[in-house]
Amino acid sequence: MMMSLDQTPMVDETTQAPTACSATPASPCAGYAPLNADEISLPRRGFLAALVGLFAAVWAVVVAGPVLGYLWPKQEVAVKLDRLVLGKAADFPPGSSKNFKFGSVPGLFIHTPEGKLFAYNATCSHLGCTVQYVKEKKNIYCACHGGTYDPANGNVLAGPPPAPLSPLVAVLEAGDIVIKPAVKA
Amino acid sequence: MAEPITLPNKYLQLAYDWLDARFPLTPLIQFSAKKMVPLHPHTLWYYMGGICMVFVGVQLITGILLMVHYVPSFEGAYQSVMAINTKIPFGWLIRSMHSWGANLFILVLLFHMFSTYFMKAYRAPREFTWLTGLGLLAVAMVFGFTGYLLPLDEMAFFASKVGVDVAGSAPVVGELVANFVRGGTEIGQGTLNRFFTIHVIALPAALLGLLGLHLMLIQMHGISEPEYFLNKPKRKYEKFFPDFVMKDLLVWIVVFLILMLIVCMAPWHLGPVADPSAAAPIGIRPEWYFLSQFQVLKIMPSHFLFIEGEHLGMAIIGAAASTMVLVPFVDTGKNATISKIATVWGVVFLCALIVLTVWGQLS
Repeated sequence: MMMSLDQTPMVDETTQAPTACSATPASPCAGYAPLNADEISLPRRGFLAALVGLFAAVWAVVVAGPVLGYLWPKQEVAVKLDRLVLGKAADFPPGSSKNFKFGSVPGLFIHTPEGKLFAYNATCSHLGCTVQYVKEKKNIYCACHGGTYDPANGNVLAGPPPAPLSPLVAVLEAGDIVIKPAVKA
Repeated sequence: MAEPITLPNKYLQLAYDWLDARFPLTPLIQFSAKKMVPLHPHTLWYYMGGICMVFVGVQLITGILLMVHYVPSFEGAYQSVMAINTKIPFGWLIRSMHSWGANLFILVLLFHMFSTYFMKAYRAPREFTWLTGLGLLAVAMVFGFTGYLLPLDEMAFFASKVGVDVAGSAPVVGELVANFVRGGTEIGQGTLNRFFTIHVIALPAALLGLLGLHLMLIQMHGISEPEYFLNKPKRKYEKFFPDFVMKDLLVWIVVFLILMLIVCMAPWHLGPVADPSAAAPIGIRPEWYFLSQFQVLKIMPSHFLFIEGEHLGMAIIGAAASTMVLVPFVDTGKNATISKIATVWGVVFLCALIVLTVWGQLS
């Protein structure tokens, strides 16, 4: 007698079960119940099918790993600046503004009509568009979904943005407009 | 066994028999001869699928032609499209056909989809036909999205930025997905490489595969007939070949002429070159087929209870889109009330789509 992998007794197709057992199915015999060859080989077939499935899964992972690794973007190192000279103060009269890059982040400088200097990270807190200063309306506007912010403090005035703009610092140093990161409290 | 086809000319017959022995044409011809198209007041909508095929053809041919002169580099893309538009003979024509063709393709796909929806052609056994059709619409929209960036003009750049940022705002995996799509943290050469590859290789392969499956399913199940037509005691049909095919050809010619008329009257423009450090331009908006989703995100409050507005907007868009996927499994035709609800929902969906699109365009 052979044993299958899950220890089910197996018989060869030609093997005959004891006559006493097969003749009286109602009264099971002491050894084993009669089974046909197809039923007996099922655990082995199932095992092989599972093995094929397992190999297919391993193959999929082996193939997907290098493909994803190839496609995955390289980690970019964020450029952080301590200061940026934006230009001569004379070039930024009251009511003017300028979008610029502060390292890796977009920045927005505003010289208000009242003469105050402000700078913000120009990334809209809604969906990441770059905002701009609208001189006529004296507000900061995101053209993508219509969010507006207060130029004096970056707070949301209207629209869908969920949070204020992150501040930067704009100062006048020796006739230059200088942008610096905000000092964390 | 298919009966042999007899041709009037001896040489034609020889040529036909030679070909038929190697590529069995006879069963195909006999299959076409048996195929019937139902005739009822809504037969007009049966032409939409064929019109979509015209646009697929136009897009594939003009797309291949555009690739000959397009340069997929962040520095050179705009100049190459400018050259196609202004210097290369008939470049403006090819580009305009491609751009207008893409827009009309999606418009006709929507007509096709909603006509199929209201005729309840999604019901068994045509669920997969409906789903492959939805897949084709999704592929067409991704075609539009990836293609929109390629000229790298100002509007293209910022519309793509907004689109990818929308994906980035999804909870948990959003930023990961957005970085993967962009090929980095910002729109740049990596993004252009990806969008170009997706647009010219991956999507055409997906489109042709899905289209093949869609057409095969239509042949297997036959043309869907509306319920009221099936209940009629006397029904009229016409032969698919040659009657319907001849009319179809005529419609295709008319559609092509309309496309050419639009292209010549209003060639596709090219805006100013994109400046990645500039603010998003006033009046920025995506292509019209994304305007409804854009408008939903625009009108959301910053917060709704404990949910951020953009997440709520995305959930609404996702839920609405899922209803289209689920409808064949809900409205199976066995329940009259569910059938009516599905029809009303279709009307609401279509009206919302139109209103939001017009609102997005005007605001």
